[in-house]
Amino acid sequence: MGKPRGIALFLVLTILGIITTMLGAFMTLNHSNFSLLASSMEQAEAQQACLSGYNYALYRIEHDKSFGKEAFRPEDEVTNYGPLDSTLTCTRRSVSTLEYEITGTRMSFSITVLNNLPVSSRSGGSVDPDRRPGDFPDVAADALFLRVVGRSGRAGKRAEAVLHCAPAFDSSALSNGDLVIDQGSVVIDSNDKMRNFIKSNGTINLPRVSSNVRFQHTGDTASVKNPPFGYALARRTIRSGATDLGANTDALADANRDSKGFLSPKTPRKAEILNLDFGDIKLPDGATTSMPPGNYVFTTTKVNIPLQIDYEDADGNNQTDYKNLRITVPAIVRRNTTTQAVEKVWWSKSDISIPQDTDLWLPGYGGAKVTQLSGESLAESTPAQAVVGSDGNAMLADGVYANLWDSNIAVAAGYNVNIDGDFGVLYEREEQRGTVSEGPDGIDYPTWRDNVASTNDFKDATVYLGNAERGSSIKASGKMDLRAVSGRGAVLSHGDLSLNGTLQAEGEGVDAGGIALLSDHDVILKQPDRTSTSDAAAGRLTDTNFHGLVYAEHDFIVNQLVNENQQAVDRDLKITGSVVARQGTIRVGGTRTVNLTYDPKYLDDVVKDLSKNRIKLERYSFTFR
Amino acid sequence: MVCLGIFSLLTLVALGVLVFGAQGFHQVVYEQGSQNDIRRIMAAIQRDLTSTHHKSVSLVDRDSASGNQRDGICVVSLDNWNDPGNFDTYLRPKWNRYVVYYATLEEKGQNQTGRLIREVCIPGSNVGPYEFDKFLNSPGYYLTEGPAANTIDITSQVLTDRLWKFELTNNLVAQSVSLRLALRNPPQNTATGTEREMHSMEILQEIKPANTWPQI
Repeated sequence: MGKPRGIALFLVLTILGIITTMLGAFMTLNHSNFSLLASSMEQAEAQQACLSGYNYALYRIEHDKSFGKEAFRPEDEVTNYGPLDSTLTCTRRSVSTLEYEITGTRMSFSITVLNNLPVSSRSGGSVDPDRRPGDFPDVAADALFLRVVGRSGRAGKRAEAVLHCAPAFDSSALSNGDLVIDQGSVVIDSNDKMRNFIKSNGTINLPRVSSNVRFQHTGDTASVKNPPFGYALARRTIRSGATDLGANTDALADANRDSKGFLSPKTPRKAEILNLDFGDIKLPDGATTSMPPGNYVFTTTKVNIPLQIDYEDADGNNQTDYKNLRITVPAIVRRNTTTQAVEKVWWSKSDISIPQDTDLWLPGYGGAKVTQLSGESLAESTPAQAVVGSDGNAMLADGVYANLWDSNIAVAAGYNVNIDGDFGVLYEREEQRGTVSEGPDGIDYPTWRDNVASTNDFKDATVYLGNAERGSSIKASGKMDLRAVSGRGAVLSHGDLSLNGTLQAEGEGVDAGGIALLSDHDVILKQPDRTSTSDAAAGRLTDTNFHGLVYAEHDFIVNQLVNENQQAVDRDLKITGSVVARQGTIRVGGTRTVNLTYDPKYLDDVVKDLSKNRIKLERYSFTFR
Repeated sequence: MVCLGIFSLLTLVALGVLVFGAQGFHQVVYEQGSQNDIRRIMAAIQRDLTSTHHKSVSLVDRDSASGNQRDGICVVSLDNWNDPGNFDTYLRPKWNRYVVYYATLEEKGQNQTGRLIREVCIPGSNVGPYEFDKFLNSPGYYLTEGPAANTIDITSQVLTDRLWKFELTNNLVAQSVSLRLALRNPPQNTATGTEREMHSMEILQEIKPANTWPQI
């Protein structure tokens, strides 16, 4: 038998076959794996491209209020969006769709606005090819419905979102610096169903939280049944009395439990505080008037009243004499804020209540009878004067009246008053409820307001804005120094805005308006002119119940009150709406109770749509596929 | 003879490669099975948590007897996300049900595992972007060891019976939920007869409910 031949060839071929098969299987497996990997990467890239497109759309909307409201045009896509110019290339556009490539990658995205835009293009009237049936669900006209599709290779991801304008401020207290309310008790409340925050980009100092701070949510008690009812968010730390809650987790847990809120020291996200300017405030659509700057002071002034006096002399003969009666009458004067010089006086002749046809003892006339009041009156040493009518209203400017009886200034509904300089309303009367005044020869003489007997009639030189239906506004290019403010409208000051009395918006409820207090510097609630122990006990002059927006570019400060004995007097402070210190701090001192209630209704009443193409967005819904 | 020797050697090498390859393949399939399990569970959780409103997130903190976290979570949801009638004019969902995920406290077998349950609760009215009051106050209704005992649910579903840990944290400020899910497989014999060690797989993820407003 011969030696088998070809066995080596057979073996080699077999082994080669096995190796080739294994190599083929290996390469196929690898190819599949690489395909899977590539597909997975494309999916991830498509998702990133989609999110990039969504964020780019937000960027565009926040910088251009017309974005999404008007059909896209080629000139809209001139690259003028800063650092993104070199990153994005607009490759296609239609009426409602923009498509971009991300430079240097295989990624792209398209942004489609699914509502608000016209169905046909402006130029040709053709239907937008990017629109399909079902693209137009009933989305509210004030919302923007966006679809963003991100692509990479063959992968695509789609996101849809509905955006809406957010309220200008979302917190009852919002400060860039510290927020200090460390006395008395504090209630954080909200009339909004979804928001109940106080926020600070610095430190929040509260009184001992477990016993003195309470979060509640009266705006939605039906559904919000479980804590937390509100949030205190601080970029730095939160102090509960002397305890640093950011460094003491047990104390923080106790504070959260007892206050029924959520206190978050060291919050990673910085609170965004909108830069509001005067143009963002809703002013009544009415007359604009100007008023000279100065301190408008409720005071008294001495005037000479020429009297005709009919009397019987010692012999029983009728005699007539003329005499100047020098008396003190209520007045309002305008003083130069720098020199304090009186520039104008308004006073009332009819305020003088010398009884006629009654026996009246006048020195030197022995039982004289004043039978007639006549002649012109003249205030002393005043550069300009005006005599006020019997209603006691002095017209300070068109639409602005000072009532001498009630010591207040009213800005008529619909009026916007501009003051080129400083503006102050002060109160300097020694005693309003007095019944006497200096008569001839230094004898007390009945003069004015002798029917005012109760301390409840104490007046505080209040500035009233508008009425319940319509507001009014005062704007000063300088600083403002007011007593009390009440009503509906806006008080705008380019300097410090000081309030030395009560701060109260009239009425509550849906129809009640709010007040916007804006200052380019500080807003300060100071010591009222007069705070006696009895006033404090009765709650007069001390308590604040304000509805609206307090916006200070720098600080909002509530000063401690002291009485005539220099003793501290605590007061209650209730602010419904929002308090904002954009660059500074909120510091509240000398309070018995502080109630901060967030209410967007009052913000809506005083803040209009943002000017200068700015917009603050809120995302209502989001789907990602 | 030389050829036969070479051939035998090559055959042995090839067989060895095949055996080890098969073992590796088995290992890969085994791990991919675990990964797919965890992906499948996470897909369900992600779908429900991503589409919900963060204000509705409520957690129940629970431990098994040996100290493993077996938490529960309840979020608001919709019966049909494709029904236009379920959205208002801002396309905000008109919430109509709550979805609950919870881990049972049992510890079966050597791997001490329990089950992960998904259930859907329809309280009728008063469903909104806020917590399900009854979930927090009546855990006996919603967090039972036997899902069938949860009589007020319309559906309940066992997602896995190899759950080891289910740990949840609600981040109120970030408006997100951190989730740690761990599955554990019992020891198994390999093809060569050796016992494979107990195998566990864990995923840690932070999910941000996208239909949350306002954003803090």
